[in-house]
Amino acid sequence: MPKGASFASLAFFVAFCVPVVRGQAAPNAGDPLARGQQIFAQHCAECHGDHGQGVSGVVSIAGPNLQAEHNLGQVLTAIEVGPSHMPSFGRILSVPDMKDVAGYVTQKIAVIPMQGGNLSEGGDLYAMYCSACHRTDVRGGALVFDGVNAPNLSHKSRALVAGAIRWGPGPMPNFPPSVLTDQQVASIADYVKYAQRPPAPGGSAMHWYGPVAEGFAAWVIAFLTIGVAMWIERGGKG
Amino acid sequence: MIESTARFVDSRLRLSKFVRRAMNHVFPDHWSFMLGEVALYSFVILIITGVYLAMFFKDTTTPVIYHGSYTPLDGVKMAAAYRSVLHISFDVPAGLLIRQMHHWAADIFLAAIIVHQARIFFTAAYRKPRELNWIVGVTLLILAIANGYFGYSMCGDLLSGAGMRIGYAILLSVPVIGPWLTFIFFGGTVPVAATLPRFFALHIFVVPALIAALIGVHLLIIWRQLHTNFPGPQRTEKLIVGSRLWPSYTLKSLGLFFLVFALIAFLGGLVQIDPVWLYGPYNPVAILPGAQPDWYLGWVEGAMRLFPGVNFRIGGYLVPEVFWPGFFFPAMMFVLLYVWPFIEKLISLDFRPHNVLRWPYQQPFCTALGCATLAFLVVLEFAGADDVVALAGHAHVGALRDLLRILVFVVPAATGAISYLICLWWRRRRASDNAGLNIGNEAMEELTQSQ
Repeated sequence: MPKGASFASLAFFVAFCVPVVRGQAAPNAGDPLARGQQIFAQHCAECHGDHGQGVSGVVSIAGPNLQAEHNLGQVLTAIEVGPSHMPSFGRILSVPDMKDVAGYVTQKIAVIPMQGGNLSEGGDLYAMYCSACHRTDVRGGALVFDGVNAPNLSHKSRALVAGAIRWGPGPMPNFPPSVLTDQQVASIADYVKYAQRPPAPGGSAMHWYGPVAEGFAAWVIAFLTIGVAMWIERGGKG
Repeated sequence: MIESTARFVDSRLRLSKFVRRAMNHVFPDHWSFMLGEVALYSFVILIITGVYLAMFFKDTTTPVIYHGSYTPLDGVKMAAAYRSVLHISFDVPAGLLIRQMHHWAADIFLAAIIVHQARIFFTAAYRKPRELNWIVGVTLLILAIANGYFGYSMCGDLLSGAGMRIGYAILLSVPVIGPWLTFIFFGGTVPVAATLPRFFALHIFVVPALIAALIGVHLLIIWRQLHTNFPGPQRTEKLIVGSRLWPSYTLKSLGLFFLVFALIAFLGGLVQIDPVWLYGPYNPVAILPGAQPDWYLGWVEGAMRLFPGVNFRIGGYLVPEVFWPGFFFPAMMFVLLYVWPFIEKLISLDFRPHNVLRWPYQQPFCTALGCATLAFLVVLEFAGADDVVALAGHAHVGALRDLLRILVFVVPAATGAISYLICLWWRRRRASDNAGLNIGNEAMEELTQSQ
């Protein structure tokens, strides 16, 4: 191995392993959230903002609002792999550090304060702001512009729904607190959760396809009545 | 006991002669002759369930605050009509079952009418002397579609409100008289409180009475003219072969009634239809994708989605784009249906009366025309549901719509051509069979059926 290369690897080692040592030496070893907060301040806040609000301007692409990323697994994966322009921290942070910072993100940052939601108010607001694209039964809808269909929300978590309302992913408009208060976002998230598995007192909901499925079922039964008429005409045999 | 009662009635009304003749009235046996009865029995179920619903429905849009047993809508401001539909669905004993049976019966009523009418068309049963009954039948079809629309527009939910708005827009688009028509039917600019009582009166009194009366006329004409029959041995223009009204035909028909009732009860009990509670109360600023009319208006919806946006003026009057697909096209379809028996006369130059039917293969042109029309309507039904199809198939709805604009012409043309060729092939096969065996094919069928 040439000498230059070994120097380079040494420099690499110094540059990237020192933070790990520093991270491991962090105080408050007993409180994972406090450790997570400290690590977040060190490694994440530069792009994602002190409170995860994102930093606009120069590094706007590097600062997506963390409130839309909601679950521990997704956050951990992002830290380790580094999606898109985000650097990978897989070799910078130890696994317990990554867990602590991810825990801090999911429990303290990626949380829209959603208290006091009201289901019926949520239904009203959903009809006003959301149903035009996502349909009242939250199964999504096809949109004429852009060729982007409004996604089916029937498997989304409350946090992701709330994050999407605030963030506005893709062509979806965002709804800042000046339009919908935290409490109203909570109401809409409540409604979405309810409409994901609404009771179907009338029987099979036929995948919530609405009048299209109903018309189809009516024709199936209509053809069945033709079969019945043929059967009767044969004297009820075979 | 029965006999003495019968004698008591008969000595006063002198019915025995009529009843005896009626009981001996002969109806031909063929499964396709029972399709109209499916429609009739769906109508009977509509009346029975509709009476029950009318006891609980409120035909007013007075704003009320809901505090019923469906808690997700607790405290929501809504029309009294919508509250009464929620009340029927969640609080009235068997209310949801009856409501769903009513809606399913309407969907099947219309499907049965279409199938019955297709049978009449494809066997040329509308020919002289039965043109009048064809006209009565087309009128029944129009009334049934209209009453279905009035019915599902009354619920006051978001979907029905959107449907009412579309109906209003279509009627308003009629040049010159549009505004007056909307004032007659809707009582003002929708949404307006005057609409619901009008729809309610039409839905439960006027249109059902007309349908019932016309069904009576329909059956009386059949009674008077006797039923048509398929070609076969002993089946001539003068003679009718089949079963008597009593007992065999009555029992067959009664069996069909119970089976239709069972199928509709099955749907009403086990398959959800029009879950109004999920759509929420109607709000003029809200809308939803996946909003389709009931299937029997889907073809009009499809025509409106496919038609290009062209507005122009005739003599200073604006003709909006909605007018052509929404009003002119369905109106022309019904006009063509009305005059079809007379058009057929001009094509075939056959002005004689006919009591024996034609098999579809014996009239290739008419069969091809009928198949092409049905294919056209099916493509339009898909176009009316294009957003649902696009979502289910992960397609771009704009591209799908452009494709459907081509298919709406290609598919009917291809269907017509293929059905025409099938008819010719079938006719040739029948002709060679008959030549070889020297026996009527229908007679063969008769033999196999009687075994």
